[in-house]
Amino acid sequence: MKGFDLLEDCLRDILEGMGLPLPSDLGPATVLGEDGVGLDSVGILQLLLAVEARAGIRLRDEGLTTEAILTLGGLADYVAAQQHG
Amino acid sequence: MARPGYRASEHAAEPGSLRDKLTWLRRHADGRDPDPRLLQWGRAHLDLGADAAAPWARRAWWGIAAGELVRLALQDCDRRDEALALIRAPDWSPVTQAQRDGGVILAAAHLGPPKFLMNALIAHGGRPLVLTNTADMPDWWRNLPALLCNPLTKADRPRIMVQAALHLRAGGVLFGAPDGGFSAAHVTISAFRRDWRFATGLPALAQMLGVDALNAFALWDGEEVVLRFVPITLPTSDLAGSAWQQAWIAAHWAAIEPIIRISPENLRFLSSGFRRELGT
Repeated sequence: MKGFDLLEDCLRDILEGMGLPLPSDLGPATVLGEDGVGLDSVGILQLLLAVEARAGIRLRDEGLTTEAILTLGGLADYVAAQQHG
Repeated sequence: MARPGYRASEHAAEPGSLRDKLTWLRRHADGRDPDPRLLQWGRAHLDLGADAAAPWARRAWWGIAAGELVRLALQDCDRRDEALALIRAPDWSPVTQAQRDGGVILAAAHLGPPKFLMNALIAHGGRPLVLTNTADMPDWWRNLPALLCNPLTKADRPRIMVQAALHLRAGGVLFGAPDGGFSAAHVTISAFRRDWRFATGLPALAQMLGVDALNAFALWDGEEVVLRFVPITLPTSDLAGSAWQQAWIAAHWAAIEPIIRISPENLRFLSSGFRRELGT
């Protein structure tokens, strides 16, 4: 599964678990937080742990910035850097 | 009886040891008129009668003024060690023991002298991750061996949550005070005729990662400070989701409640209205 598809899959599961709708127009610019799809900080952590589990990686805090987990595209880049780091 | 002005900022600048100043401050507090704001709080929230309210308010005022005196010492790089030497027989073994199983959360509260436990923890070592108002600190604290994160900045909260999780997973210590209650996600406890708001970020981390947590307090005991670490244990393991987090907060509150009830010197959450007149 490509990185972005994996993120979208995980995001769908997290949003379903929280009773939130999955926007139809997901893209790299999609904001993950409460101003976007509606994840709070715990929800974003849940998303990252889900990505870890499905991608078989262990995230590290190198490259972890506020911007890196602000949008789906930023998160995709962060996860990709972790996979190849 | 006079109600002489007292400014911790001027007192801190005078010669003399911090211990002597705290002892002097006790006598000064005992000789002051009880502060009317504290009298009112004690009567309204602790049901204090006329005889009990005045000595209670003097002790509460001493705690606030002493806390600000200690805050100033902690902020002075030449006097920080003198402040930390107020700790009587420091025992970090509960933290060390909890860390044998991995990361550990230290759940503090706005009790006791301000910024004290945070400084003691950083001085103890291990490069903890500290959730604190970083705007309310001297610049040189930013060079202390710790990861200081300001959860008051809303945009940074997701990053801080993830960073805290990675830190705990690496076996680190996470220090924060849920009673800040700044978070959108919170639990409210009604007690002492008011609501107490607790952010649920720390219990969420404990729940998701399965890490241990300790109630962690640095409290006045006389003119010294004692460290207190008490494991946060849930009454049942059958809980899930928000019920688990509420039980965690309730267990945290169970350690806070008796301090509020019997220890007026440690009610730091009452200090915000006093800092300006104390010069801090």
